[in-house]
Amino acid sequence: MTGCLDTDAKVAIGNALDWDVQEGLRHLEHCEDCQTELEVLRLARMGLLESAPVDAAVVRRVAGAVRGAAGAERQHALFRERWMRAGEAVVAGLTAVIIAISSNAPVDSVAALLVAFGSGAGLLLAGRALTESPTAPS
Amino acid sequence: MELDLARLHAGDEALFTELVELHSPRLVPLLRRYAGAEEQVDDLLQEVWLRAYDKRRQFDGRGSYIGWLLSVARTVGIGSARKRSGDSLLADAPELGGRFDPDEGMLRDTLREAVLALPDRQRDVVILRLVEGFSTAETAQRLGCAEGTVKATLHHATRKLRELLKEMVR
Repeated sequence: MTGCLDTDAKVAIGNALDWDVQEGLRHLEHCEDCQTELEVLRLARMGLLESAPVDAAVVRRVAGAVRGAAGAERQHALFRERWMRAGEAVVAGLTAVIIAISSNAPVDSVAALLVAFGSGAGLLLAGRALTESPTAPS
Repeated sequence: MELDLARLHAGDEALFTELVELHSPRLVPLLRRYAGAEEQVDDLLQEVWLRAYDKRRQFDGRGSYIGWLLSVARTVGIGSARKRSGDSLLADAPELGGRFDPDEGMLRDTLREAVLALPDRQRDVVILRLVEGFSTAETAQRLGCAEGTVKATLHHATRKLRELLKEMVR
């Protein structure tokens, strides 16, 4: 007989109706509420599945725009990271100056302060370069 | 296509190119409702994908990606229609309580809108069950809730959609 449901569909219906299939189908046939609800779900599904062809050139243009956004995001992240590192180096240098002053080291000239600052910042940068080098132990 | 969430969150360009190719056809019918003219649909589509890229970490992988994407498209579409004054296609959308004889296409469009306007959890359940074809158990597992919760959520969502339809054809 043509139009027969396949076995998968029958199993799905049976499971869904807790295998009280005749009673379930009879109810569906006569219950306007259930019919309306089924129709609502059918129409919502069709609406959500609706699709329309998109020109290949449009797809390329959109994908290109997304790649552009990704590139801009990477640049922004790189810029932020550089400034973060510079800020950290300044903080390390200032910390070294404060330590030098508070430990009564002979920092009575601008040159000595600069050396302390440079040592702090330099140590941070060198430490980072060592830990981030490809040969550094993980 | 099983979505690789790590690649999505990392903003993998190859993945996004695949997603644009795969999902754009599903976004266009929705965007047509909001575009002032057919030429604007392509611009809206691009805006949707740029927004989807920018907000990619908000998709947590539990619901349906196309459902999330359609919601993004709806937000972009509404924003675009609001910007235009005087020619908003939203004015053509059926209003609740209005009396008219909607055709099936209009009912489909309106119900799609209504699904996308549901709270996130209800929208996810409806799309996973109706569109993605997940069983109640699979949906519950994916959303991290009990099967009973999925059933109740679907029931409440369907009630809302049904009320909407009732208002439309009254």
